[in-house]
Amino acid sequence: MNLCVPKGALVALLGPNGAGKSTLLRTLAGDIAPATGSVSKHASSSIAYLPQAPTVLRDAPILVRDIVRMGLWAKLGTFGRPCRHDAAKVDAALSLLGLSSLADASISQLSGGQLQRALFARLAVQDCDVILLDEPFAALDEGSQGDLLNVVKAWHDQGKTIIAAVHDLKMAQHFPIWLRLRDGSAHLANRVGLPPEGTDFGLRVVAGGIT
Amino acid sequence: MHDHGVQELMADASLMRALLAGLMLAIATAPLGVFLILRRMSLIGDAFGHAILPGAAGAALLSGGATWAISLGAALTGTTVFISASYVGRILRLPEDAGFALFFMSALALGVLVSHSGGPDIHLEELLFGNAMGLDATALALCAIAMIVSVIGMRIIFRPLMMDTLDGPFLANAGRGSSIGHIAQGVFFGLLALTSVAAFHALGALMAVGMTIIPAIGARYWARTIPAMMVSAAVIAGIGVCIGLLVAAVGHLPAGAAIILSLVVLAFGSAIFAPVGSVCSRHGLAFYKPGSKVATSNT
Repeated sequence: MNLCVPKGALVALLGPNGAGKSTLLRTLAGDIAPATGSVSKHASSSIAYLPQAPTVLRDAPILVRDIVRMGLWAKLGTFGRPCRHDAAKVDAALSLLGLSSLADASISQLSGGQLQRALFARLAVQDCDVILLDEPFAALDEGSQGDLLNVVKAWHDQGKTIIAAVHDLKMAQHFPIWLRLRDGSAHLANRVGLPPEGTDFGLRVVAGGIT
Repeated sequence: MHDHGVQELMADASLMRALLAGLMLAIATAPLGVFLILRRMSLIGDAFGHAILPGAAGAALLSGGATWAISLGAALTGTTVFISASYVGRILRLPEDAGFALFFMSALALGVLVSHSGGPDIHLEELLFGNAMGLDATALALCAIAMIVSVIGMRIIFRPLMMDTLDGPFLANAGRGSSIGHIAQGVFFGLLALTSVAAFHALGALMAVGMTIIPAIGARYWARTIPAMMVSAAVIAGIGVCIGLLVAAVGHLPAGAAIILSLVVLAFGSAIFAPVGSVCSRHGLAFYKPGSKVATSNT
């Protein structure tokens, strides 16, 4: 597999179950090492990754706002103190995802859809250049799907590179570029079948990077 | 029952020493328990206490019962057994808790054998159940050190440990390339070992970790955030120490067991009456201040 994702692309990752969508995303995220080959990215770009199943400890005593605050980790590290700007960023993310009224609720009180919104808010706070989403719209009602899709489009408008595994073809219509995985190979194309433009790459996978 | 006045109790030096040590241990241990509970490791943490027995007994045998030597021996075997349990468990592909059970049971049995072979300086009952009323200056100093190191250590690792506990994969991903989560875990287990050894003199090998875990169980029903839960746990532990020691002094009962049972009563009381998710709060029975900001979840 050879793959080069242009910077600022909004990509739907398609393929049957077991085609390796999650594996590809996890490899791009640096979560697992490629069996062979390599993954490269712009040195300055940062990658955020949202796995398919939430890994948050759901019965923990923690507020929605605190989960969203975790997105500040890359900036603050172990000792950094959040400044007023950081707090404003968290509030903005909560309001972007329609969670302002739930900011001080415990996460154990959230529904699955609300939790997904909180995790999107955390991604917004992380503010990475590349965002990898594994089935972000699965098991959500249409209202939530629409809201989260609008957030993804807003990120795209900000120039972020986004790759989302999607199994619903109707949902994939909203993505200008499709990446189809089949039989261990990948085809990057826009919806009319032309290779996407752009030489400046956001992500590159070479030589069978994925097994 | 004897008629004890407050003054008479206050004049009891060994009781006052036990109280001081107990309150220091409450601050040192209970906040750690919060993370043991959240990480589903309360039984593994409990078993850690058993692992300190052979070293403590062996050191008592060799040193003639010196407190510092017993502490050192306890720390040594505790950490050795803990590390080898997880290592060997992984090699043999045992489920994690099975590996720990195997090693900690062996440690306990070995400790009893060592104690049995010992001379007049070995008091198996004291090693197993502690002697809270008989703490010497070394044991007190150890409690003070444990408190200071635990508070400072937790302050340093708090954020990465909290994030690793709440969402480990996220921390691994967001802190790209760094193993900060593992470092925080390592420091945490180090603090757990230190505080357990400090608590060992008062509570014995079998109950050393009780003061770490039981208050944290009750604290869950008082707090909606982790920092609040850590403070609640320390407060519950402190109250349990006071009640337990009072009961032990008045009734001439073993102090360690009285403290542990007081903590258990407080934990159950919290689970039933406290404001956050307790039995009463879930059934809409307001045993707490109405109008408080605390929310209850109706499941």
